[in-house]
Amino acid sequence: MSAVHRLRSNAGAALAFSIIVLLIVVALVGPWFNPNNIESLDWAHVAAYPSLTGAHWFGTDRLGRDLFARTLEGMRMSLAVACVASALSLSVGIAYGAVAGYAGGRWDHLMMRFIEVLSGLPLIFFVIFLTVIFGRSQYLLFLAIGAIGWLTMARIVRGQTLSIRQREFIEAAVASGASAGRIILRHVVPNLLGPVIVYATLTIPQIILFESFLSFLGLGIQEPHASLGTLIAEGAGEMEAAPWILLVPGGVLAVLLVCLNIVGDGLRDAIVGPESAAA
Amino acid sequence: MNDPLLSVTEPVLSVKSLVVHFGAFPAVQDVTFDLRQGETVGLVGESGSGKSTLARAILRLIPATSGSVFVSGDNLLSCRPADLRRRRRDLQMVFQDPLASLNPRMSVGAALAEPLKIHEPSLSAPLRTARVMEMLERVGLSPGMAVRYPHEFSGGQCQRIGIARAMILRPKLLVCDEPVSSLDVSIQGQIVNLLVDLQKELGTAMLFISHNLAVIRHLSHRVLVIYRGRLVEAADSEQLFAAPAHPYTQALLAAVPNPTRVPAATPIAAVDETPVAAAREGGCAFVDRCPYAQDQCRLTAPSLGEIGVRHAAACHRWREVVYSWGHEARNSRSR
Amino acid sequence: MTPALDIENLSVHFPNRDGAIAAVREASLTVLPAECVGIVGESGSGKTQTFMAVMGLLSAGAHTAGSVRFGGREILGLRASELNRVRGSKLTMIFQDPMTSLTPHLRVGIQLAEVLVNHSHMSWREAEKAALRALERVRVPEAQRRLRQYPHELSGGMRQRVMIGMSLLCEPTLLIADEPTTALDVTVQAQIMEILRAMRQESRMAIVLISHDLGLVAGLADRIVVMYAGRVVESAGAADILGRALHPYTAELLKCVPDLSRPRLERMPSLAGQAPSASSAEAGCAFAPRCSLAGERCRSERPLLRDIGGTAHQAACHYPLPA
Repeated sequence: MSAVHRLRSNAGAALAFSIIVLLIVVALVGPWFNPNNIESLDWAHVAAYPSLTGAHWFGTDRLGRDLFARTLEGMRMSLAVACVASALSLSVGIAYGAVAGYAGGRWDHLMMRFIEVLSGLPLIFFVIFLTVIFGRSQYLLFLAIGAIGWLTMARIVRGQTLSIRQREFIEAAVASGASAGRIILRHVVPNLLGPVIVYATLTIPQIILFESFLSFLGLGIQEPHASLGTLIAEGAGEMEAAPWILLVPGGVLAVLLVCLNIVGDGLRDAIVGPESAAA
Repeated sequence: MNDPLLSVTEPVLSVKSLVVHFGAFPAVQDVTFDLRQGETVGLVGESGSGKSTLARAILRLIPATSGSVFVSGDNLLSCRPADLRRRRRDLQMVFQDPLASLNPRMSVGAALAEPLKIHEPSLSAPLRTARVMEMLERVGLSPGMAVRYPHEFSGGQCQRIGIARAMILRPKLLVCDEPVSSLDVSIQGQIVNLLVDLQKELGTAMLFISHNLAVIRHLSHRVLVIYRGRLVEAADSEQLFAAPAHPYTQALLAAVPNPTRVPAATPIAAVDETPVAAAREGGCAFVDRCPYAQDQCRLTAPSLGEIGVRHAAACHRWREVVYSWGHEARNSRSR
Repeated sequence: MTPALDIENLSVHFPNRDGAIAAVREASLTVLPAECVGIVGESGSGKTQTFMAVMGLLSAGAHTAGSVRFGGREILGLRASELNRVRGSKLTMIFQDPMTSLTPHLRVGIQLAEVLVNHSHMSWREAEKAALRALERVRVPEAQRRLRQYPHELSGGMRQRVMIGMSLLCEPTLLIADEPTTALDVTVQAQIMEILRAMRQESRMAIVLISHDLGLVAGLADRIVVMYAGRVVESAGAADILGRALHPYTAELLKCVPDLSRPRLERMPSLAGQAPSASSAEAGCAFAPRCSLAGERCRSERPLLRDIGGTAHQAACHYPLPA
């Protein structure tokens, strides 16, 4: 549909999108071009300055580990968390919100109160609690972040559903004899995907930041794996002596977040288009 | 009892004493009428008269407060939900806003196929597609349009799609809620003629709702006039146009713009009021707008009574009303 | 006599990816003082865009060409600040959907008074009194109470009356009414037309009435201009058009006007097909595909608007209908 056209013609969003794709490709393919891996310690080049001609393109950290490899690993980890957490919050959030919004009345009331109770629980305690019980693992991280993200998604989806429910084509579907399930799946959800996708794109930066924060606190990714957050945490300690240890992952994170924001905005402009233009 | 509104043969639709209240507001009050196979009943009234509410209550899209709606013998209002959904294949609706009644994210073909998927799930995909294509052609659209989306079509085309969707299951009853009101005058006839053709071909009973008597005249065998939730006049179509017996009907007729007839000083000083009007205690609901109003009109509400062959009106002074209309007509002819 | 409004060869187009959408193509028409001109055409005929151009309300990205003179003064292409001197006071417009023209969160009385405070530099108190008078003028019952209400508390017909009242506040020279009754019931429509008729008699105001309903327009207009696919195809006095339409399109439109006094027709009259989209390039007459009288010449050569048979009756047709 022409939403794709509009997105493509939005120069800023197209550029940002290309950058994101580039970063992802590099993150996935990069290790093959890099003889170093994330764990190997190179005692000859401890805290080495980045040099494109030398063995370590982005330099090394305090332990002599190649920063390029670790940054790529960091990117992979952060993006993985973002994708899985988003997917989780999207699927649960859409299902919950659409059902609540469509059902209305008492069910809607109950379901929303449940969300409000959950929203009131302090995030960090929840994560710490889970970490204590299940130990530190990256899968736990995915789950924790996703479990929190769905709350807001459900609220948004419910709001959208409430307004979609008033529209005449829903009445037409009821008049055709469609069951509630079919209406939600075929009529409500496809029409709320627009705003929902945009929202999801704009929360990915938040998720990455939150993961970085958790990892910074030491609650998420553990050694020898790295996420952008843990790398930044390390780098913060070396800021004066070896600033590149902070700047490289920090820079990558910043670029990623900015591009995601731009793409999210572009998506919103692109998707809001057709229905209002045709009406 | 010889009720002029009840039909001789078994009606497809039989509405009895239907009442719809929104809280304290009486949107529909005690409506009774029948609809036979192959027949079109026109329901005329302004916005706020309750005609759309009545239509939706008949199809049980909104809950009725009391009364019954018999479709082929069974009371729709007391069906269980699963049963109701099955019965919906025989009760279809065409909506006022053609574009809004179509799912913007669903292609035209998918929209037409959906009723088949719901009510004839055993149908194979190729057969289903064939029926969709056949229906598209029957409403005057080309099969190539099945892959396109509603916003790519004009208002008139969207309405054809809506009609195709409603008729693909060959329902016994079709309710049309102001289907041409949002279309250009020059296109309205296309849709009206299409509905008439489909009705002749499939024998569908049609309830056609409109505020415009000119359109109703082309389609309807019988006309019901509704004001503030009550039927105020019911007659065979030509009878209604020749001898309207209720002042409100006359107001509706006089309001149709006709450039060739000089607008005479019509006796109807119709005052525009906000739709949510206070319930009037006793007396006729039309008394504030009626040029024939007398004291008895404020005291006792007239009931819908037989005044001629298959002609009923709810007016104390219907004789004067009919006479003055004939008088006007004779005068304008002699001019 | 200087016309109230003089549109000459106005063209409006919106460039887009595939070329341009030509909404209005070289349309010319004149409105004399105190005259009522009806503009008739289907959706997409360009009738609304023509007057959006006049009012300077075209959406961003629109390109215009030609000339629009209001009271002798060129207004096409004027900056908003200059246009605002006449817009809303001497040159006013009312639209199809009064709900979207009125600000939902402001009371009606304030919106009316605001017009006067801005244009006539009255004090608020004087303006509110004038607002009350305006509502009474358009026969809004219980005017005092209505002033304090919000737009959503009024019915569609009532809102349209408020809009008419608002547009008359500064004694305009010209009122443009764009499909003012299309969204309303026939009875309310008749009332609104009555009000417009009464306003015409009271003041020396010119009116442009835009509609797809020829029957409606003929009840008020002195002259009628018929538009099709962005161009003017016929222009004449109302009586002339009703009695003797020259362009086949006008004749078809006339057939669609209902006449309850005549016996019922089997088929409800309508035009076959639909109007061409504004983005289509045209060779020849735009109406040819739907015209039962179209000949070879019609498909290759576009007919120009010209005087036919005197008495200021113009039509753009190679084979105008005989008397």
